[in-house]
Amino acid sequence: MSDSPFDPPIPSELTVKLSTLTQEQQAFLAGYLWSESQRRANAATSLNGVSPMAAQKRRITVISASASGNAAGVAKKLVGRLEAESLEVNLVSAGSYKARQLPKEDIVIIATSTQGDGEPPEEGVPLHSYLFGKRAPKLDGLSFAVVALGDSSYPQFCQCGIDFDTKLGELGGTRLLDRVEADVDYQAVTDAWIEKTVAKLTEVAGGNSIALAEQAEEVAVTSAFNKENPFNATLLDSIPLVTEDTGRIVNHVEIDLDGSGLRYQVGDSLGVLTSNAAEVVDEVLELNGLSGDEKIEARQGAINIRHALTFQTDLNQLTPKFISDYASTANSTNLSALVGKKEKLASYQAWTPVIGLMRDYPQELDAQRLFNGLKPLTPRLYSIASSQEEVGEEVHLCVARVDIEHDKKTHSGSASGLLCSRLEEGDEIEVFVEPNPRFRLPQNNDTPIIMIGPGTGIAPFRAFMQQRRAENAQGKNWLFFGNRYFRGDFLYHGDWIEYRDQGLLHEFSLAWSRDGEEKIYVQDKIRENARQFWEWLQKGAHIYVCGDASRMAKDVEKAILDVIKKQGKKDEDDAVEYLNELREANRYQRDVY
Amino acid sequence: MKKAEKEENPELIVKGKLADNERLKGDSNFLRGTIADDLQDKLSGGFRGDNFQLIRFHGMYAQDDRDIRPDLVARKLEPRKNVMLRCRLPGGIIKPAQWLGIDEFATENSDYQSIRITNRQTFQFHGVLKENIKPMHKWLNHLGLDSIATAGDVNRNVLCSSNPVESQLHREAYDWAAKLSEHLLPRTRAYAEIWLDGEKQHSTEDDYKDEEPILGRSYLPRKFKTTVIIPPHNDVDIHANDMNFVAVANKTGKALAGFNVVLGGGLSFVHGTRSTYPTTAHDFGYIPVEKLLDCAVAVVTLQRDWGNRVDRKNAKTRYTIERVGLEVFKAEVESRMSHKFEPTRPYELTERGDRIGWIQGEEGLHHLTLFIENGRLIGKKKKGVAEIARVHKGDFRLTANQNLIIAGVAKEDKRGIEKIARDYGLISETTQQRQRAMACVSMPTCPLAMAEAERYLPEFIDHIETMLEKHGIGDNYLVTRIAGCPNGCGRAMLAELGLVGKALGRYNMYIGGNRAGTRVPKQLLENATTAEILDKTDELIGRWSKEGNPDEEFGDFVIRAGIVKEVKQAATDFWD
Repeated sequence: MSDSPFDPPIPSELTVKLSTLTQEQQAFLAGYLWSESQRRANAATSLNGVSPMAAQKRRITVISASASGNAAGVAKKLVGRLEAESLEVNLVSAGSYKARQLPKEDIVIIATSTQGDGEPPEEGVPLHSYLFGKRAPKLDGLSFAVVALGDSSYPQFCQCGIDFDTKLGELGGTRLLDRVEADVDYQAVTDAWIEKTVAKLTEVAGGNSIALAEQAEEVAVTSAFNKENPFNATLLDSIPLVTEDTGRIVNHVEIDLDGSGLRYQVGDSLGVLTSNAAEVVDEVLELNGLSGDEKIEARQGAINIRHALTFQTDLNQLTPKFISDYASTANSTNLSALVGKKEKLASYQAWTPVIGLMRDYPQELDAQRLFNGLKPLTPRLYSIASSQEEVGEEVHLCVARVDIEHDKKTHSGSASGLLCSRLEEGDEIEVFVEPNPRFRLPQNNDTPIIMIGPGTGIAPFRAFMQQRRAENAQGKNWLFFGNRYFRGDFLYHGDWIEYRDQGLLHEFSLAWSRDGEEKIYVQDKIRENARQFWEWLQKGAHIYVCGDASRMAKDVEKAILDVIKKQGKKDEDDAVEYLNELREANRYQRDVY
Repeated sequence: MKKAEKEENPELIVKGKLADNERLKGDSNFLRGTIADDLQDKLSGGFRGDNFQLIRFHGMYAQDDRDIRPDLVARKLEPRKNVMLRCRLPGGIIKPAQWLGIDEFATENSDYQSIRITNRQTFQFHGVLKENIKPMHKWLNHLGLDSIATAGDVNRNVLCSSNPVESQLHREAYDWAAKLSEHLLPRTRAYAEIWLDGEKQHSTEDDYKDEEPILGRSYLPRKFKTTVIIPPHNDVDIHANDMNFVAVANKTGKALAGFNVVLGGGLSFVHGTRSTYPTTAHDFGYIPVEKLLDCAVAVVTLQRDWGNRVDRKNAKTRYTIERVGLEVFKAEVESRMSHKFEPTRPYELTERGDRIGWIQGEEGLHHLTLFIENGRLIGKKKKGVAEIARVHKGDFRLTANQNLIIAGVAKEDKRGIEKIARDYGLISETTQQRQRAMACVSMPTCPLAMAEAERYLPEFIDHIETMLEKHGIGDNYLVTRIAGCPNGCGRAMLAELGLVGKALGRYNMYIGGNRAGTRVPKQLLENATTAEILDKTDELIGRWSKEGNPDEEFGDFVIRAGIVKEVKQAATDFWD
């Protein structure tokens, strides 16, 4: 409880009382107190709103472009600190920020993550494409700073932050602080950046300003459990969804949230805390000549290496940094040569688990070096495949086991392996709800929706259907789904037939890449149904895309742009503009990863 | 004329709320339904709503692989939906070139890659996926075959005794079977339209071109089965059929003079429903050969008009006869065909089995009957038949015992054909016990199946063979049949020992039929496990071997010994 606002600590009368409450009551109380504190804060804000202005008041806008919530968390923390310094600050998520406001801004601080192959997170796309488009503004009057979050196991580390930082400079903005790039284990880096930024802004924008924190769009938190304090949930079931002859493992996972007070909305994700399989940890220890009892220094102090390898390090994903560090003492010309060749290294990195590298080029690292080099193990987010209207205190996921074949052995992803194979019914798993306000059903239940979700991207759409069924929503629903085979590989096939037979699923376009001579994908189906797609857009349909970001989402977007160009008779720029307008109107929402 | 009679005898037509199948047929626009839309439906591998039933009239059953159904459903997937196709093959005759065509289709486009010869003298494809259905019909059409009305409430594939020996008589009988089949077919153009891209009809006005002068717009109340039989061989099992024409030869013995008409057989019943029971058919009388079609139309239209359309369980011809009385029914048939039945000419039914192996016919040609266990041709044996088809100059005859006759082989071709048959395992030593046994398809494809039939039969026969050996009567046999449900396909209700499925691994056991197939057996055990059945069978075979009279059939013995009562009047005797 290092972040505890209680100083001195919570009075003992209170803790004694609290200890008599059930978990659920505590959770409720936590939510109640939180909303009460918000109410008071708002009241204070409005009072302050009429107070005299400072002489040197400068407006600060903090924009967060976040995929998993990390960048948003950093932005929020910054804003809290700035408010504490009584600066006037406006926090806004990139998704609800009107990009054309930018030239009118004074100071803009951007906290952004990067997705996939160097792309902006979903909600940052309009801002990004505005800055990089033909209509990019002059920003002579703007001061800015950027903090970039990323994942160094991807080749284009922090690229989106780099893009924003570079572009804002090119367009005439004044850089207040050098860009900071933070890896998966970002906390220390971003905390330092926050302090530096606060100091800088106090200097340039100081004075007697007011703080104006934007109210969170959705006050949905009613649980004591969150990312920092995950709920110890129970696995109810994990059943295979595809037949064995597909050669893949995709499971339907049901988790019991009973007693947590956790609520989620359709569109949200579930964060799952993961760990490495014991046999994988054992092998890493053995390959490095370690017993497992060796102590290492971790963030929370000295722990033994077995524990660290099990719960804190990613043993699936190598990073270029780890490989080159490893190579420096591995005494292998082959490995050194590999490190020298960027493309080969990238491919090796992508297809080799940590133990693969260690087996391929054996050497023994000491426990601390091993721990320091490895990527921290972070929670995995899965799009929720259920609606609480239908499943109550359960949450359902659709999880594809990520398998890498190396040395004729299958290495499964830690979280997907855990959920699909390692956990047994009744086992415990730590989870939290990660809200995704940028992926929401239309407010109006009569609004038609187009759901594009090949592979496990279908997950949130099962949740959508359950929700719309529960609400007796009259809006039409159109599913685009694709996988390799119609038979055995159609995720939730039985459910979709039921939705159709119940009159809930009005249109469906299915693409099977291995069933015919030609490989057919969802984007082909979008083009094939261009006219109807356009008609649906004219009727106000919302488009939702979920699934793979690196290829599918791009190909789908191209197809949608083609539809807009052809059916709407627009040129490329106008089509892009049209799509951005849809995006800004929350009519084009993506949950891609 | 008939109208007046009906008013005088209102009980001739059952009043009440019509069965839902009647709505379905009536609404189907002459059997079209929305089958064509379902073929375009890419969400499901199956057929929806009424179409599920309507495709039966086109010769297909919507099925799925029941072996893997639980696993697929657990995976939230759709069961592996497919269709079984039953060809129309009056009298079971098929040419070698056609055989090669169906062999190719079964191998390449069906899940089970088999050709299943059925006891209605035709073949079935099992496990045809939706995308292959239309190509299948086009292919059959190309081969000169179709599957019109081999299922559903219509006159189904017409049987004809497989008697290649009396060639001339058989040819005549076969010609009548083919004519009957054609004459009683639905007239709707739906089949060609849906499956063969025949000219599509557009306006409702065109619908009037679809006429069903014999079957009517709502077709028959229930399935209807017809045979043409050359006695004394009862391979077609006349008592399993609604309408039988028993050939009567003229004085030369070489040509047909006429037929004894035998009506109202049928074997289906419903477990625990006493209003249903298997029934043997009744002799109605003799007609000269030229009255055959008139008589058939009279019977079919009468059943169309008087059959029970309220309760499908009592909708077959035999229940109509039972309800209105044989004399009333007979008078109406005579009225409709404008001809009086003459007294039945004496005839005898002696046995049902096929003569396995070579026989020579009266015209000097040779015929090889191959025993096909369960009628299932798959793998090596199927390849063997295809090899024979490549060299054979005669034709193939599918028998009502699920066997295959290579018919019309010249003396000089015998050796070659026999060699292929031996090389591919189509000729092997089998016992009479095995040759006379029969089972319906049942699991894993038939949706009605309650227990294994075809897949259990070989093992069950192994046990019986061992028992016969043990009791010193290894060359004797009892006609043994297994059906997965009481619907009747396996004709277990005309066996000396019949099993009818109740649940996986459990059957009702019936004994007391006879070899000629003229008596319905009686229940001995209910819901028994296979172990209990085997114990009981062993005990009975033991007693038969010791207490049976010389040449006494098993079924006759168990009645004489008082082990079960003889079923004389099925309506009362079968259940009591």
